[in-house]
Amino acid sequence: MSTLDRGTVENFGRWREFSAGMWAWVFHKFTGWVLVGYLFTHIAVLSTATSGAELYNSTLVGLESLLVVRFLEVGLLAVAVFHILNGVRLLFVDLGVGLTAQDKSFYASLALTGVIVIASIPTFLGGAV
Amino acid sequence: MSTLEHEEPETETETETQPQFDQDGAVGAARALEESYGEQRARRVDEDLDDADEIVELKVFRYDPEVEEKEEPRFDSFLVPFHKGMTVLDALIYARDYYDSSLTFRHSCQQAVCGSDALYVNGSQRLGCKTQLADLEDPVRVEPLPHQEVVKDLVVDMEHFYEQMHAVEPFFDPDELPDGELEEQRQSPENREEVKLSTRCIWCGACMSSCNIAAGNNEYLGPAAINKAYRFAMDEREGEDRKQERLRIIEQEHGVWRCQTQFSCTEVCPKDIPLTEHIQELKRESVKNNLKFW
Repeated sequence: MSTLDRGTVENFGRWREFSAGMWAWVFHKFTGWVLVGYLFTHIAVLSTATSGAELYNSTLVGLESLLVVRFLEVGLLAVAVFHILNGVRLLFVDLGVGLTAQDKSFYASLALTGVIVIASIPTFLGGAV
Repeated sequence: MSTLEHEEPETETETETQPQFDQDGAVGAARALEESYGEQRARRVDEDLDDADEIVELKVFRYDPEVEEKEEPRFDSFLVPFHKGMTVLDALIYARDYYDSSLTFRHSCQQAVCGSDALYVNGSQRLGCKTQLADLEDPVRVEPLPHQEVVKDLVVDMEHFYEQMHAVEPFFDPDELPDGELEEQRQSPENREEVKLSTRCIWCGACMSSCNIAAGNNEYLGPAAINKAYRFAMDEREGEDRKQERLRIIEQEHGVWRCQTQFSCTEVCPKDIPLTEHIQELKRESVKNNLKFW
């Protein structure tokens, strides 16, 4: 029997029809990998302290003086906050609590992430812009 | 759904002509007769479209490896007369009966019990016979279930789905039978309630088709099979030994642990089975079965 394999691209091209739970999964994976990536740069920056306080201070001051870094920090906060909130949501899902409200809790974690990120902007960008 | 402007489809605008008999007699007569069948059908469609509450455009996926013109997958449009209460399956049947008899799709009971007409309708897995046309945006796009290979038109190869279903040994198999030959195997009402929703499964494959994990991993049992496993593992009448055997299948790497709780299966299930809930419960069940603190 010859059949038509519509192919991987076609299968994964259905993202336009994704529902809330599927987006939550995509975002959770994405933010997870971003946080893993950040962990390495975090270790690299903190490791400058092993060569003395002066180098550590100059590295941090140098980084903080860059506008890009300030914006990246806002992004990092957004990623971390969403990952935490959705992680709590998944914890409830694993416990079997509120499964019928899983889409609402995803939207709630998105909205809360947005609010927290906006509230953090004065702190992160203060004096830089 | 919007009412379409009534356009005369091309094939139906031919004015009636007197059947012409040529010298070859029978062949010509047969052809003339054939033409008049076609014309009759076209006239019937015209009348139906005039009678209809609304006219719905159906866009249907077509593919047939055995017909040259259909080797390249394409979409065909059919204008179907809509009457209140009509389902997607009704529309497909109309298109097949009055436009193109080669249009192929599975259907049987037409009342959401046989599970043979799960289709991908307007971007979601649905049962054709249970989906009201009135609830859908026009045009209605009908495709075969995603993540399965297409045999012809809307017919997909269900072999893999059935293999996964059979892998969980989907049959009642108690450790011991009651003593008396004709004695019933009683189930407590509470236990019945626990497995009740899981028994609704009609093996339509909508959940498996919606699952992103099952799409990328053919070893994953999939929501339907795990739900089946749940139905028997949670049945108290089977006994502890059988439950351990069942849990051994469920708690494999590609058993319950591949579920990433995207909830797509739960959302598309035409029988409203809380599939994700059942999978999560089996995850907890297998953790409890394996975690020993003493």
